[in-house]
Amino acid sequence: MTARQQEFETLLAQHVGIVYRIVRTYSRNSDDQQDLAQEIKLQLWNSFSKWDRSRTFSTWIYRIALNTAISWLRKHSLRNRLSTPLDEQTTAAAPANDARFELDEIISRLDPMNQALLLLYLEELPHEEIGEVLGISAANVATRISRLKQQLHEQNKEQDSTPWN
Amino acid sequence: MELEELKSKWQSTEAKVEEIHQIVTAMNQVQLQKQNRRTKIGLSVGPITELIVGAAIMLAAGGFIADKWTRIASYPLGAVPAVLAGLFGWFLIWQGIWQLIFVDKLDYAGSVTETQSSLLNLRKFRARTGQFVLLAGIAFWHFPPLFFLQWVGHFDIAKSVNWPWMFANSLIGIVISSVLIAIARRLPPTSAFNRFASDVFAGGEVERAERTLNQISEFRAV
Repeated sequence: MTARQQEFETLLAQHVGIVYRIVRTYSRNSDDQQDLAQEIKLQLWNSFSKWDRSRTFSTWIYRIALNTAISWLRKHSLRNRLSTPLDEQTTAAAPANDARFELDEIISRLDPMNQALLLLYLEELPHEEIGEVLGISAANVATRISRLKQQLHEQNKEQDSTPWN
Repeated sequence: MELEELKSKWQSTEAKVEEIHQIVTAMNQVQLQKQNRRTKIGLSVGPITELIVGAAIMLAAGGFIADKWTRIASYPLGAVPAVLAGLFGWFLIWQGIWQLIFVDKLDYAGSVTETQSSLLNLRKFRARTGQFVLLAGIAFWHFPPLFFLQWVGHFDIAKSVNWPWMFANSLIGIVISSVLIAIARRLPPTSAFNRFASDVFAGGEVERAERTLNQISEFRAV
């Protein structure tokens, strides 16, 4: 193993949690998660030589992993819908526990860009860094987050007012 | 669930980092390098093939016109199949070069909105050119065999071709293309074939890419 490969593996091991959380946000069953995790690692390795060291490794990893995950999702979403029977989809998405299921449900209702935004917010990244990863201004991040808050609040109100709840 | 509540639940869910760590580390360097090569070949193989095919068609058409120049001068309509073939060759070269430029400019380490926009533009471009080639192919299907016969078999187009028949064929092709587009727009994408028809004939792929590009620009603007 060369020094560059060694450095890559070490940095990746330190930030593997980021990869895990992105993989879990954009894919549900374990085969897909494995596939996406490998694709992210491959893309990280491809781009490692171009990593600008003036930027933090975490920002860089967020950008590549999110870009790979969103592209992967676009490529696989329709194919999965066509090839996987409905009962299998439901089983695959069955909750390991209710809280996690609820979280996944809320996240999956958003479009991929807002999923990315929410994920970075939940990771407690500062607005400037979220903006840097997504390519939008910090002010835009704040506006988007407040809209997400509003959206969730509205959803809550709707659920509470539904008679069978 | 409110956003702050969502945040605390997110942070308290057990992060099975180990599980994914194993998947990620199981992929060794040799596998990575092999896959890396495959990915690069995968992205460029289409445009490079199109460049080669386009150049071959161009050379054949150009060579034919130069070779038969005196005959073409006395009967210009005889050059129509070769000119169309030449234009198609140019088209293949042009779109192959564009795709290679797109692929080269792609940077996954760029910001998410920027990279996704580039990827969607590439997707849109590929879908558009694919749609164009297929529909033009249906409308002008009879010109390539004619050019081939002229070029290889020294077929005398002036004596043998009935031009009203040729243009009627193109007209029928245009009608067939329009009907295919209309049918494809009504097909629900429930099977692989319907999806293909919707993507290629009706431009479903282009529409999806444009919709997502709009979402991204809205996301950027606020």
